[in-house]
Amino acid sequence: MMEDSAHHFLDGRVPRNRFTYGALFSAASLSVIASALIIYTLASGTVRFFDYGEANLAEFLTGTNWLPNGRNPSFGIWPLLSGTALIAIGSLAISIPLGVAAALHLGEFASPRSRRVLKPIVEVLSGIPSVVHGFFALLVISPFMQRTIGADYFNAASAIIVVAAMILPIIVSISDDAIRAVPREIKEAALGLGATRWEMATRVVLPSARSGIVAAILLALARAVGETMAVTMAAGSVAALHFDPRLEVQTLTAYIAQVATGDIPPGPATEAGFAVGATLFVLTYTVNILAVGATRKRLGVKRKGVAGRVSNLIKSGIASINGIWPTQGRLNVQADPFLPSRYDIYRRRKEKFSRLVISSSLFVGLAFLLVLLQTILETGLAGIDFDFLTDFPSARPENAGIGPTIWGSLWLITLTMLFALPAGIGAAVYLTELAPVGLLNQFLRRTLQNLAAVPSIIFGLVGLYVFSRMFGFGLSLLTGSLTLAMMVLPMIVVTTEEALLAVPKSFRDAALGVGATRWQAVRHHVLPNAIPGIATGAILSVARALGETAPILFVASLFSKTAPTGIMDGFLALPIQIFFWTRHPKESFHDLAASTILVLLLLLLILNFIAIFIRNRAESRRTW
Amino acid sequence: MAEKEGVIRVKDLTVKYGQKPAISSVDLDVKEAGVTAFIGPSGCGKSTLLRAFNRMNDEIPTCSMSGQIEWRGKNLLSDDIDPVLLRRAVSMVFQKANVFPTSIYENVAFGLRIQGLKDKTELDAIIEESLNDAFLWDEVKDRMEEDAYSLSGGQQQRLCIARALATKPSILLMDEPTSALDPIATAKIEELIQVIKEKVTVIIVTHSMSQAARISDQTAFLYLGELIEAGPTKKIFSEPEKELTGQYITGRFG
Repeated sequence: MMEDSAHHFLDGRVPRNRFTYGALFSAASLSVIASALIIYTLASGTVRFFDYGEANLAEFLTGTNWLPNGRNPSFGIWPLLSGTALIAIGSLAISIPLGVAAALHLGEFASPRSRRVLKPIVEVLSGIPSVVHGFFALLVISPFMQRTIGADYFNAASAIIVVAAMILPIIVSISDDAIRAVPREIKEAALGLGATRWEMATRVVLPSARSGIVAAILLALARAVGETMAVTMAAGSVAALHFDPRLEVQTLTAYIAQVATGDIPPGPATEAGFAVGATLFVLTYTVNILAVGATRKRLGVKRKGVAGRVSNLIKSGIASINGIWPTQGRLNVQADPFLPSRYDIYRRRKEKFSRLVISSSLFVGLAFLLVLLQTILETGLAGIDFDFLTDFPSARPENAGIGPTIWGSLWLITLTMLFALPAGIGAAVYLTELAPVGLLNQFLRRTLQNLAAVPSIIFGLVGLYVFSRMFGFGLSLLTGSLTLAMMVLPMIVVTTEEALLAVPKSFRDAALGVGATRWQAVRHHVLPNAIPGIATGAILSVARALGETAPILFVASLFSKTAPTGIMDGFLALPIQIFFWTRHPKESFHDLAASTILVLLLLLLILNFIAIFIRNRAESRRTW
Repeated sequence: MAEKEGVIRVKDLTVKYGQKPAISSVDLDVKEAGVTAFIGPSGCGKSTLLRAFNRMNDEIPTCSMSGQIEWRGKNLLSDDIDPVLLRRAVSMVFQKANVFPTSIYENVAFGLRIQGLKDKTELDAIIEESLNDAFLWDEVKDRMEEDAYSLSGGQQQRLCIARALATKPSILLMDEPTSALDPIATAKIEELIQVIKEKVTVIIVTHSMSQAARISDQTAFLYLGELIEAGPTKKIFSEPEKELTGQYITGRFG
């Protein structure tokens, strides 16, 4: 038809920006590289450990003695497993009832107004770095436990309590989401049949939300198993096979931390850290897979697999709670429908009482938070002055300051963001905008999900082995920030994705409809509108990186006395400083730790305020 | 109960969502017998009126009601009526089949269990009777422990009807119960309504005029939040008093 088809606009293709596509795809693939580095680190370390010949795989997996030092070392992992299990099960035993009750209260009973007051408590609790929990466990809860239940100085009980506080926000917020996702129709059905709100909540809402609640519990379990700092600080370093919370225990993570802090001589005992890391990785990976599986389950009666069994257990738990109340022999069809039977009066009391009980659950979290903050203010506030903020660390507490430490932390998070932000945003753009479907995309997403669930101390092992030793970056800022960047990458991807998806699809369609390429549509119409959301996510990731201790425990220079001047310099960071001062035998160092915590919390507070400010301003200015 | 010719008297009922009235100053006598249908175009307030009878409107935070609904010597809207007790006597079936994520048996047992009934023999007897009334017993009697979601849409809605009948209500409210169903499933539900109306007063909201004409004894026509006309169904459909009613039932708007 067309004589001069060479010049027709339908011929050929608009040149795609191959470089941009390539760069974005590479960013999305970084999670695969990171995962490969983790697996390589753990596998090669485990091989080196077994090469020493001190233990074979069977002895490692079945042995009941963990004595890594001394002439006749023994590497049976069960004492570490039992320590981990004790902490995890103990903390779940506290946080499951509290967390589910709090979520139920928030989702079904709290007025929108009290919800606005209560929800931030959960958010604040989740923002407290684990090293701060460790301080609180060792210096406040442990003395209390020593007095009341005759616990040792290091004991599992104190660790259990702070780990419970750490995983409580996970259980509350994910269960709350699940509870709020229960369709209004089936709640109305219950009320329409004459159920009280409490009956509706326990008999219909909780069972309907159970797969979400199971996922919440499994994610909390993975977090409890992977938690390092608080457990290392409070539970101690004696690997013993027992289940007595009054005594010292060592967890898998705590052993790795012990390797990191140099309390373990080089040789098989140090390499054992990698084998323990591999075990920890497999454990948390499995739990995470189960959690993902649980969220995919449709509502229903017949459920299979472990997640299904856990969920049925919860269901029968709910049923047995309902079962302890008295019953009524015959159906009560009253001549006067408005006359309550004795059982109805009883139901009303039960309703009032139960609602009171669950509404108090959040106040347990609030009380914990208040005592923690009050202790830290009381011990730390007096020590903060100009000298403290500018002086060098010192062996004499009266001279010690955190000048270089503050600089170290600032350097660290700046570099971390320099690495993680472009990578994370690029990956999110690729995954949501350019290649949002297909097997490859699914694989990349799954990899990111799994990366997000890797315990932070494992990143420490990777930093040590890959960046520090293999790449030869040594104990430097570069090593520390690359390690942290790997850790916050999934978080940045997820928050960026949310920001991108919040931009209406019609914006893209409008651009594509006038002939823009996908990248042009994203570049000019999606990204500019997503900036506030991306910035909010980035700042929250900075906050996360600022408070992290475990990943840089291996690579921070404890004895560096000066502020870093370049990326190859050694560094100190605030959480590391808190960790060492808290564990110092001299009590005056504990006050310094508290002062440092105050500085850290203040920085986190400022970051959070900036994030909230950006979010609110963007929301008030948004015209779509 | 059908043998007792009572009446549910709605007096000057106004229901607002926030500041916006959904129905205003409705006066209506509903006979406590047979089937009464509320008809009218979308947004006319017929569902809102229905939800006033068992105080389901209480569950919408912005909703406020004024006026009276008198039944058996009480004002159903007054504060000393406990909605929980009221809903046992005035049960409800909704537009969308809202079965609980549990077994068929437990769905029907729900209203009985919350009243503390534990006796297995009595539970079984009431559940069988209710499922029979809902024309569902023969289809499910061998699969009572199965997931209620395994039923078809029409079966799920009949399960909801059985569930609502199990507590032996005096009045059954039905909010467009067949609007999401195919004609065959709809026919079944219309048929069962003709049977259960011997046991329970049915008030049904329907979008379909032909359905109202087929199944109801009394009809009330609402338009823009006001009651236009009410009376025996035959009369409303053959010789309506108001011109608006005539226009609506002949399909000239709505």
